[in-house]
Amino acid sequence: MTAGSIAVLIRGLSKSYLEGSHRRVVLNNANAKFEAGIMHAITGPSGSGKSTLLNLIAGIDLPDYGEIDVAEHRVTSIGETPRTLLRRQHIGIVFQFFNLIASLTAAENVMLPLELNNESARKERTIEALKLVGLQDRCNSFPAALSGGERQRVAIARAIVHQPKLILADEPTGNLDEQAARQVMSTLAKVRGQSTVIVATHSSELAKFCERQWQLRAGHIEMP
Amino acid sequence: MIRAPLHSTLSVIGIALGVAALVAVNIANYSARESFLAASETMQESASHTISGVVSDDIFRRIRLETRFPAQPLVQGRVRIVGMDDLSAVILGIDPISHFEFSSNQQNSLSSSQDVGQLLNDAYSAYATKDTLSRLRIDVGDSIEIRHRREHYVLKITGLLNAPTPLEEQSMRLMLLTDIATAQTVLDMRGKLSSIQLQLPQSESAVRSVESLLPQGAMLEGRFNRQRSVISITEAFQTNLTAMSLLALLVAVFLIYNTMTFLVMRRVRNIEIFRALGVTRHRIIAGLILEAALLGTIASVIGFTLGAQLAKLLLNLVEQSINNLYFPINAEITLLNPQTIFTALTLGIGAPLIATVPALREAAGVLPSFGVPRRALSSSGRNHALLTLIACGIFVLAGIAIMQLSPTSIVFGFAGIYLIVAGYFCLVPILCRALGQAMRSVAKHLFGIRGILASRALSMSGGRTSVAICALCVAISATIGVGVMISSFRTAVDTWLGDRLRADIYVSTQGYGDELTDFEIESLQALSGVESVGIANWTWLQKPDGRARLFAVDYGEYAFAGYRFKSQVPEIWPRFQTEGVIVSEPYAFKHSIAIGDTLKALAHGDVVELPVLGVYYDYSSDRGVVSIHRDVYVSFFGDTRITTAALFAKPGADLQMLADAAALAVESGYANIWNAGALHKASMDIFDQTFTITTVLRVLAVVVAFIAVVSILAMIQIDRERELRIQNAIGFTTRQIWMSATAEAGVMGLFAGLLSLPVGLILTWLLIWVVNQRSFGWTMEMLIDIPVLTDAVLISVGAALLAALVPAWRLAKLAPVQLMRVE
Repeated sequence: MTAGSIAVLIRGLSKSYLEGSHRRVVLNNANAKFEAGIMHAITGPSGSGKSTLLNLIAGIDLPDYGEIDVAEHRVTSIGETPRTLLRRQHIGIVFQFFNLIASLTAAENVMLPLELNNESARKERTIEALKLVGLQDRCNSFPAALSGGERQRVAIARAIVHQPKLILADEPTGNLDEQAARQVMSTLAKVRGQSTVIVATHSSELAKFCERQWQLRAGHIEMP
Repeated sequence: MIRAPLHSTLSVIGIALGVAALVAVNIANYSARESFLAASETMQESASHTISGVVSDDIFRRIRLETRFPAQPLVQGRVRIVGMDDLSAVILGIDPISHFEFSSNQQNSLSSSQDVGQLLNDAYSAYATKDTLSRLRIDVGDSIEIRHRREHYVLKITGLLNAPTPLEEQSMRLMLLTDIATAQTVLDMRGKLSSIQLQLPQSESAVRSVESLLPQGAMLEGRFNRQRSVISITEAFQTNLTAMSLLALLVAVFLIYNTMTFLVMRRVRNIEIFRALGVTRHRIIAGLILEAALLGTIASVIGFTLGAQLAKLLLNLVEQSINNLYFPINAEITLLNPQTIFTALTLGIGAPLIATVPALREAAGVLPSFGVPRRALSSSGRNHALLTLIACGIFVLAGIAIMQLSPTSIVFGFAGIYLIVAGYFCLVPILCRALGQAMRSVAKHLFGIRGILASRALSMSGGRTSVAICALCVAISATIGVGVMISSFRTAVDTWLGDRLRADIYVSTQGYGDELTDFEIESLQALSGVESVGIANWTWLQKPDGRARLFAVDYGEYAFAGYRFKSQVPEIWPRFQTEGVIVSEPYAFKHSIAIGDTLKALAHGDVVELPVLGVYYDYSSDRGVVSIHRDVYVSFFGDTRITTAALFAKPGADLQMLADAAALAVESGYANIWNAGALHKASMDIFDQTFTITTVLRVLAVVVAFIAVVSILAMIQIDRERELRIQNAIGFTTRQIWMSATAEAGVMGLFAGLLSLPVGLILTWLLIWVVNQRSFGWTMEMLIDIPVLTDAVLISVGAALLAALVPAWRLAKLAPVQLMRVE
């Protein structure tokens, strides 16, 4: 990945949801180019469509109209299984509520993407990722035994361990105290360069950690 | 309930099936019992005593002349309706004159309805009820062709038999009332009577005066004793069926437990809010109880309806079994009896309420505002391993203690078994975790973290998975227990028949009063193709405290090899030929007799003591048999009659020709000629038919377990929906999720199957040594039938995989869309 190249390209993206008899438009002919190798922040009030945008970029959901290119793949025109494989190989996701698998230890949670991708040196790379987030001594702890901040750092380790081209983080600090939030943002900042990081947040304070800031307004993605 | 329609529906179906099984067995049992008692009442009418065992006309005449007590002779037997070969009817022959005299003091069904003296006017005429005529598709004035053995007769229906009560109507269903001469001709009993009914005053001397006239082999019984013995005969059979049907309900209880827990878990957040808003704990619990009661009521109504339909099938099977094992009845379904309604309501509503208790405890534990997290609720039992072990110990000890309380009670036997099995099932959650952990390293080695996920999900879903495994385990272990027991029993009976039927042809007189003459025995011996003839006498041993079936046998050296002994004295055969008796296992069990004891018997008014030399395995009668060498019998009792001849054929002899020749050699006309091979086959056919009903109930239990597993897997799916969405979000394909869920169900089925094996074998042991012995008095060697065990595990895995199809399909369809922001 070279700086200046495009990691995510969005063209004419529209998405709406039916709420009862009313159709709510979340994205309306949105366009954006997310530069590779840097950290992007997407801000906007609650309900502005930040999560929807990340879902669409990750191929978890499909738009009504428009195109998204991620890692040289047209996410919007491939089937469900290729989208899953794309996610597995090229995208790391950090959720607001951590979403660790309760029945696996911290190390096993982190190792899972490596195993799914059938990659080598899994153990070493897992420990390395946990070291990066400062949790190498909690390898064998189950999620239930970790604090909120620790869980989110394990989730970040899981998102970066297979060195994806793109990391999507949806309100990664929304459930954490201020100190833990700063720790998480610092950790994400460490991996930019090798990955493009897109963070959805409503906090303009945390958005300052990112090189590029985007705002979602009236269904459009705009530079502030 | 409405918000979880799938689970509510599955629960209702599960409970309904459990209730249906119980109701069906209850209706079938009640109907069979009522039918028999009604039949018994009609036969005995208002007799105070009955002489049973075939006796000759002369005995009746002597009783009438010498005692002057009111008496009536009866001849009874079964015939086939020609052209309707699946239908049989009972011929009841009465002497209209005696009947009139006998019933002049009593109003009873036969005399009050019409003048039975009309029967004397026409030979081969009969009366029948309207219902019987409609079933036979004939009317008064029509004739009907009947068959008894190879002989055909035509009876003309000359009158209508009116039953004053529905019960008597039922007892006279498919009964043809004839005069005694017609019945004797048709049933090949010329000069013989099936029984004599008597009206005796309440005095010992009256009884003794009649007894003094009875021949060896005939027995005088009071009405009360007769009914009591009849009831006890069928009671063991019916208790066994009830216990089997309870299994289906037990599995259904697991289902209800699971549904109610699920409903509570889904509403934990709501309950937290309600509690915070001031709703009391009692009110929340009352709401849940109401839901459980509603589920139970709906299920009870459906279960009762289903049960009534199932009862028709079961009643037919019960009737066949009772006909084969005990006596002929024509049972008709009696739907509304208080016992059945009580059972349906109590268990249909009571069981759900009991199964809801754990869910109520969880609901009661929810605190206002800050509810216990869902996961903690479902796995809170994990920390109670010690308590579980203690509970297991208490159940097992209580089970053993209850069985010891009454060594002969079937009910106590079953109660003990259920407690022991419940104790084992307490261990299932612990065993699941242990097996899950043991599987973890294997799964990790084979499938990596995905393998760990599948194996650990089993142990971490905690209570829910254990409940599913328990439900499946109960049904599968019952399948193993009953399956291995039946297979052991079948092998034992097969071996026993092979041992016992050493001769090639058996010639046996029809009743205990008939005999084969010396000339007939000599004729049989003279037949070409006969190597030797053994002789025996089936009769009664009169004892000071009752009577026992007695087999006085002299089959020569062949007989000795036919007995397998449970216990015996040394040098048994020389002593058997000179001094003592051997008793069957049921007889020894029911009379608490062991080798070294003596049997007291009445011979010519004196008491003789016969040492018990051995206890042998025998499955011919649950009332037990005493065997004695014929020489010993004759020397003590002076009875030289012969009722059975066993023909040992020369090698290469044509057995069919020999049987035909034997039939010609026997002049009396009362003899049955049995080919040993055919007898063996017929006996095994009856055995298989008798256990068909057990198989039906086993299948029912497995069906309920299947529904339970579907329901529980669906609940696990909902519980794990979020986790599976995470898996999909980080790169698991839908196929991988589908495979993982299916594999998990398969592993669950495998666990249930494997955990069923020990408890299934314990059940077999208990069924053989507790239930069979207490019910019938016999035991058998436990033979572990490997196909039964492998089939059980395969059924378990198959049921779980099948049950997982729908939930797995739904899992695979899950989209992770809502995952990002949903807690």
